[in-house]
Amino acid sequence: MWIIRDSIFIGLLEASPLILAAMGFTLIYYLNGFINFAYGENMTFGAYFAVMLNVGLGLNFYVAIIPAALLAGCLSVATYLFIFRPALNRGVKPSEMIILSVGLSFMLRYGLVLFVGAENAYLNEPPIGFYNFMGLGATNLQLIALILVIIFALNLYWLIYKTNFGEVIRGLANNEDLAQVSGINPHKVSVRVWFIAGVAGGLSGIFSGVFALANPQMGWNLILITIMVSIVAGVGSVRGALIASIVAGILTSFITLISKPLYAEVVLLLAFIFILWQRGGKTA
Amino acid sequence: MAYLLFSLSLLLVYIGLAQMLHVQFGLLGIPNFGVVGFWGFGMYFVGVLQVQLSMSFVDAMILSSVILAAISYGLGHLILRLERQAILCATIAFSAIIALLVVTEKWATMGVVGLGTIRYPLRVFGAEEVLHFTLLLVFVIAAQLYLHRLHGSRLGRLMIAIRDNEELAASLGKDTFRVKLHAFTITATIMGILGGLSAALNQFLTPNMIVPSITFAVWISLVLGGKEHALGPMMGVFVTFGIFDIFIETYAPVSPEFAVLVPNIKLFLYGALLVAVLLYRPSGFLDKDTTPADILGGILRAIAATLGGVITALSVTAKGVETLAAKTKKDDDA
Amino acid sequence: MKLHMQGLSKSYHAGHPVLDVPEGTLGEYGLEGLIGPNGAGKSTMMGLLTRRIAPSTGSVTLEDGKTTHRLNPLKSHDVARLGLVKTNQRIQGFESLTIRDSLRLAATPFGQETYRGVLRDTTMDAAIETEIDAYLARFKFDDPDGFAKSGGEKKLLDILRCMILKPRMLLMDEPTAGLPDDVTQEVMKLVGEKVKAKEMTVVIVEHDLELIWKHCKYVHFLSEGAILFHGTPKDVKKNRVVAEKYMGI
Repeated sequence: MWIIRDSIFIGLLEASPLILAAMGFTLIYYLNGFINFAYGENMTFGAYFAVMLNVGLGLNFYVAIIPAALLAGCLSVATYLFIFRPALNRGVKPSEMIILSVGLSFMLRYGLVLFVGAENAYLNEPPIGFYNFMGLGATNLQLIALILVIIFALNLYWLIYKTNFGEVIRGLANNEDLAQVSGINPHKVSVRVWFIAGVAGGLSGIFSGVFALANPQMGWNLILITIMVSIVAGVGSVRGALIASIVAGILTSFITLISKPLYAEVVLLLAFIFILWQRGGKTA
Repeated sequence: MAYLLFSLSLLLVYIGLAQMLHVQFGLLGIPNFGVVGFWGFGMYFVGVLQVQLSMSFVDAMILSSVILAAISYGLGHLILRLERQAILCATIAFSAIIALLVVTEKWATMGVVGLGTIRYPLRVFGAEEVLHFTLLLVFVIAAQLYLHRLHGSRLGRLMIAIRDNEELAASLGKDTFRVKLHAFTITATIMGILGGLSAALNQFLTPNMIVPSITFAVWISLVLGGKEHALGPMMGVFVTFGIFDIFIETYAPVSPEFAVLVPNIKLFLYGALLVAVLLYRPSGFLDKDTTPADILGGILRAIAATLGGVITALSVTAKGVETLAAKTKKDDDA
Repeated sequence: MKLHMQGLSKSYHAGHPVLDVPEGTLGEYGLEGLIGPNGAGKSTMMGLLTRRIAPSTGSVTLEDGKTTHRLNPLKSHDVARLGLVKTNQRIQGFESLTIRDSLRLAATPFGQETYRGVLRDTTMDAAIETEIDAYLARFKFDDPDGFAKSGGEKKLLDILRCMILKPRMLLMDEPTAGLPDDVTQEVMKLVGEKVKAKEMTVVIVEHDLELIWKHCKYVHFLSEGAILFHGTPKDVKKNRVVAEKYMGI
């Protein structure tokens, strides 16, 4: 029993960046219909913005989070305006958009390396305190991260499912022309979506940085699982992304607890393939 | 000279990988983003069998290829029916698993300590490097000739049809899954064979050789050169690897402080180049109707343009580094 | 060649079948028509018969002389190789293949595209070339060695690709939509010849009723996922259900 309890607990703590990333990623995937690998760098840059503000400018860690996330949102909008929108307008196909986004991902990542070096960067964290929670230990930072993630995820959820904005996104994703006729400005909506997704990605990167450290490769290491979770969740289901990322987090920590991290990767890959098979199995 | 020969051999390995990816993605539309996994599997498997079990190179290569063929066949069975985006993720995950295995299974791979020494397959004292290079050259030329025939063959036509519209091809009685599965298995296994040959080339293997940037370098070569043209892979590798890894590292006057930055600048420019190509010329340098005469002109233009860009970038950065070095020295003196 | 449907149904949401055929046979009369209002399930039925869509329940069997094949375990390419082929309602094509190459692809039996063959064969085969030339002489394309340009050319190419497969049974899903009148005439003439020579049986799905009455020996009426009536064109024209549900009288 303790294994199940521990893996749920650790899984939730460790999955919190993944939850944010998967929800943000899914938004873009749904709206524009392609897989954006450069979203990984969105996370990395979020973490580095936080390092810059926190260590570079000496801001308090908690104060630094907000501008860092907003900067990540701006970066996301910039990639949309200068790279992805021109490409979409030129009629680049979804499969080529993926390659394009991989190119952008490398460009941003190694551009960052040229500026800050390939070494790890550390956040200047507030003093660490341990809390006991049903016999399980967690640091104050982990708990705060989890709480912030829950707040943000709930907000995003509310935005997508309870407000007019979610309706607008769905309309735009399904039929841009029709949406335009009914008075939606696709450009404005897209910019907002990319901004929100960017903020989510930035926060995700910051919290990953809290648990370990910031590194130019961190986004690349996170993006694969993010994409897999989003694909499994189904096109455009922010709700599905939320659930799938929690399950993936718990599954990973469970397998890591009873064996090696390697097997967690293998099991996740097989689960991914299996779920898509099940879904595809309905057609001949 | 020895280093140049090593670089040229590595260039051939990259061409070989790009040729296989050309079949997978350029002809069949299978987005294999796990190139480094198949290559790395072949490299490490041959290395482990040779070093740990003292197998001969040829035996090791045969055993490794058989196993990799079985793995690719199994993986292909699992993923080739899925949509393209899922194939892409699954192949990346496969390569990530291979990279992880190399680090964790220390009893076989020696982990981060490194595995060596792997001997050349053709051992004539003093001429091993040249012979190995020749072996790779023969391999790549044979593959290139086959690719040219493939483009004008029934099989090639069928592959293109599957890439364009798989469902329609199936409705014409073509077992599209079987075609994809066989092609994937064969090309992935050849990627492993190229890995085995790279094991001898590298002599000493470490886990940091199996990094995603290798997959990326092969992809950029293919997309840049022209994914649908038989000469696209070769062309792309000449422009990317040829310029960055051979020309600059061998001939360009790069100061040591700057040299450490070169790989990062390279990957940054690869990324930028890929974005630019997809935005402005999605078919790459060679689109599917390009003739040999166009190619010659194109090569000259491309080399001139890229060299111009690189030299400008280098001189600007080198000047920056020099100024920085001078400043640091002054600070030190003070 | 005949097709039997047994308890065949397809539903995407439980309890709401888009097609539900307890029993039915197609292909008994050589050239048959399948008519019905939009959303009646005609294309779904075509998809089920060629195994492009998997049924929710039921089975399809193909009867060819004395042999019968159960289609349920087969893939769509297996069905095509048994001789059951369908032309497409929506425009489909291979954008990188020229008109001639597209026909060559269809005419080459599957299995001749081998890896060893790459070294010796060429894309061409004398018998196939003659056949293609005959088709291209009868049906004019702007540039047979180039790509199909207009929607009409693509639609015609789709039909010719199916014809060159020499099917034993051909399902045509709205063949006239997008085709110029003279080409439609010529296609129907070709189909008529093949049926008369007993080379194939044909089922045509069409909204152009004049064409159905003119060419078909037997007509099935499909509405709301069920075959409500079938008979000779004369009977169908007179039938009250058909008149109410379809012809809006």
